[in-house]
Amino acid sequence: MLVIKNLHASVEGVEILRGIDLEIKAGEVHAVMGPNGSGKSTLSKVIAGHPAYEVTAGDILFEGQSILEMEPDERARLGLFLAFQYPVEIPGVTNAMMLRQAYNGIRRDNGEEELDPLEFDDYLTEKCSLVEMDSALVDRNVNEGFSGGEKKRNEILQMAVLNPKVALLDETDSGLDIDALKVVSNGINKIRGNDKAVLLVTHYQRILNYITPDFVHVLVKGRIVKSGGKELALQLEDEGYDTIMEAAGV
Amino acid sequence: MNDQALLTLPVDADVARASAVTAFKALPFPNTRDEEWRFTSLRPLWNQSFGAVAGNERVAVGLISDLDLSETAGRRIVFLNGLFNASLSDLSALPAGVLVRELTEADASVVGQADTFTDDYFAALNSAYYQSGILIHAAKNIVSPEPIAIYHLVTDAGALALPRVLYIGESFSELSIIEVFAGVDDAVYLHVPFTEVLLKDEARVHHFRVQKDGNAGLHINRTASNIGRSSDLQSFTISVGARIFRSDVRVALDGEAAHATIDGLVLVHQNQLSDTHSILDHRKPNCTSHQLHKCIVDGVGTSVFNGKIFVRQIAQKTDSYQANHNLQLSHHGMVYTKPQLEIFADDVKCSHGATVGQIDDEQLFYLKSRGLSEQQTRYLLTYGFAAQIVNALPVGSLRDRLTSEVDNFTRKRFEIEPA
Repeated sequence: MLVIKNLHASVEGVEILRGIDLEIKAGEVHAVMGPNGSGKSTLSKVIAGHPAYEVTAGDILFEGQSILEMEPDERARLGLFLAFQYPVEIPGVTNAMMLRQAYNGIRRDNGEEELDPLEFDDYLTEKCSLVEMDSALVDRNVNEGFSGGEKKRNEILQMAVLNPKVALLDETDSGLDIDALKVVSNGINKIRGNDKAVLLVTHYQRILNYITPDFVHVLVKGRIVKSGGKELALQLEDEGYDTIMEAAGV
Repeated sequence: MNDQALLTLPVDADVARASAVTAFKALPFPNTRDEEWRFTSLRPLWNQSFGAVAGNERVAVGLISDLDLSETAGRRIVFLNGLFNASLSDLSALPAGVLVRELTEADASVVGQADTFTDDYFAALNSAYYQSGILIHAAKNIVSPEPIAIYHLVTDAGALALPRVLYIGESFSELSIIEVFAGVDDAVYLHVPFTEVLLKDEARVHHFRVQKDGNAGLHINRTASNIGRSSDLQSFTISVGARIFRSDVRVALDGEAAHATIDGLVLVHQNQLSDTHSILDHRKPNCTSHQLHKCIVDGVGTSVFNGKIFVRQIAQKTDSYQANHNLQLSHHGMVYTKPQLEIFADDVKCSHGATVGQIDDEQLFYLKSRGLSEQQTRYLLTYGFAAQIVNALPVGSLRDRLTSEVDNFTRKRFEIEPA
């Protein structure tokens, strides 16, 4: 579904990603872990098409098609979704207004009829209950005045509404207390499916207690130095990154 | 001399206004060498003739229905080309305790209390020669949620419209007043309204101003308030129309613990110019003020903001907030902003600031990553910039009307189909 080949990327002339290879098939959940500054967030932003990052070598294929030259919105409409580590506040624009326009855009692409505000309201309410979010939040301005937990939950709500094929979750667990973490994880699990894939970027093993990954990759200094199953995450939790970094010679 | 407007004025102004006439005659026509008019050239007025013109009632009815505010039925005051028009006005549903009547020459002593007119050509022009005026008076303890609308309409090229409004809110009263300024397009006219607000102790007023003058019209406005102890002035202005709009807003916080909010939203495009000069004068201790003034500038439009806050020596414990944010949508628009603080007291909290910028890159990426196109994203962010102010308005029909005003402006700009 998503294939990353020898991906190199830099920001303001500094190389952050130094050759990443990763293949994510439908139905799989991949976790990317790594110490601070290893390039985890950069990886998810580059896949989503953040304009500040320059891809200097390699390719990203989505369902066999290179997306490197595509704008972020084109990638999103193919079925790619990025849940932000730091969701952005949009004053004056309600969640419902933003999501209705985005969702109807996808429906237009699929040749489906657009939902009017009332129909969309019903659809949105249903998705809110999926992520156990107070439906009053959808009439508030996007992320404005939201608590840290509400912002993360809002990202998962947006994902549920837009129903992407590939979800990139950038440290969605950071800053969440244990209850919020469960709710957010449940939301992600409900959206998982055989036709979907998830790339979960995280700092801690904690969220993997709730979302079982098929693969765990360790990212250090812009390269994947080790890949394995879910037991790798537990090993990291016990031993820290040092052992793996030493073994990998980085 | 040809660098000024050619005004036809009545020969014998009333004796009661003699001092205003004298002041007016002593004041030169402003030009950009005057500090207060540095960025606002009145060149479009030069050599243009303006005078009293009878208005067109049929056209006026159309202008009213364009800005129909359902909550104000039975509480409408209409000025047509500067003259109070009784047949277009409807005062059948005024709240008990609220008086509306024309100003007479016997009122000369109460007119002009909130402000001086001797420092400005146009303020003096209105004070000396206003054609008719309206007094709105809310008696003590009268609280009404039902807003009163004042339509200031101009229907003819060459018209010089000089309407005058005086609002007096007695102690513990609370009223909402919506002033709508509108005129026909493609007609060069000169609209110079002057509104005074006097709030007694503990009184509150919600004062909304909607400026939708015709695209060739020139509108130079003075709004002056004097507010007493523990009173509350809630003022909001949206400026979308006129070739040139100049708004002088003056508030004297003249009693302890008074509060004034003077928020504003300006949308300019094509060759429009919108200039807001404000003075918040903290004269007594423990007063608070809030000013959030936002401008969206497109085309070769210009926005000017000059906001002064005075805190006098006696005005300890003042808490004052002022911000001017400008969003530029084109490369050729101009923004001039000058927030100013003059503080003579030593125990106050005052913040002020101004920003001029384009759409934020992180917000742009965030919305695009949700599948919204570049144009849709820019539309939403521009809409949101303006809606943040409009959404807070307490009068439903006004809020809806202005929300669609903002929506139309931004949709047209970014070529987004109506919803």
